[in-house]
Amino acid sequence: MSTVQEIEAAADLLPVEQKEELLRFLAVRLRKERKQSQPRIYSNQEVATMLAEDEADGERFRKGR
Amino acid sequence: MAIAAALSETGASRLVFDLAAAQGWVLVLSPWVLHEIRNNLVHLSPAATRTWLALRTKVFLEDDELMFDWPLLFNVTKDKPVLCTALACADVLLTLDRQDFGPLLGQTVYDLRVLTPGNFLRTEREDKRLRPRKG
Repeated sequence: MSTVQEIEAAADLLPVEQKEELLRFLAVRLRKERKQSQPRIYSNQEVATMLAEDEADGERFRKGR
Repeated sequence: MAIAAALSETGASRLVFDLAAAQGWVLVLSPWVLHEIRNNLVHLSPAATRTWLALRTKVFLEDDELMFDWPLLFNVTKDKPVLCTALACADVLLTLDRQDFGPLLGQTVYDLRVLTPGNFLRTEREDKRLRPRKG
C-alpha cells in the first residue's frame, strides 16, 4: 500500500474509533512537519518605504494634522 | 514599528515610544517580534541597534501566543504569531508592514485595532484621548 488512494480506501474500512485515531495521528504529524513561519528580514526598499511613511506621519502629527 | 522607532528620531513610531509613559500606553512585544527586530537591525545600522537597546527598556515582553481559538478568516500566515499574540494581550496592533498586514490596516479583528503608528496617534488625538503634556 503506497498511494494516497490505496491508503484512503484502507482508511474507509476502519471503524469510527480507528478513523479518529488515524486523524489524530495525522494532525500531530502535520503540526510537526509543517514549516513554521519565520520572522522576516525586510529589504532595504521595504525599510525605506516604511520609514518614509512613518516620518511623514510623525511630521503631520507634530503639525497638528 | 519598533524598527522604524530605532531608525528614525522623527517618525510616528518614535513618538509612540516617547509618549507612551505619559499617555498610559503599555507597549508590548512578543519574543517573535523581538527576534525579528534584532535580525533586522543587525543588517541595518549599529547606531539603530544601540538606540533600540534604549527603547527596549520601555517595552513589556509578553509570551508568544501561537494558537487562537477563534477562526482567522484571512491570509496573514507569515505574521500569524504576531496577530495571535496581539489578540491575546493588546488593544491595538501597531505595524508599518503593509505586505503582511495591509488588508487589516484600519480594520478591527475581534476588537483588536490594527493601525500604523501614525494613524494610531491621529485617532488618539481626534478622539481626545491624548493627555496634555506637562510643563
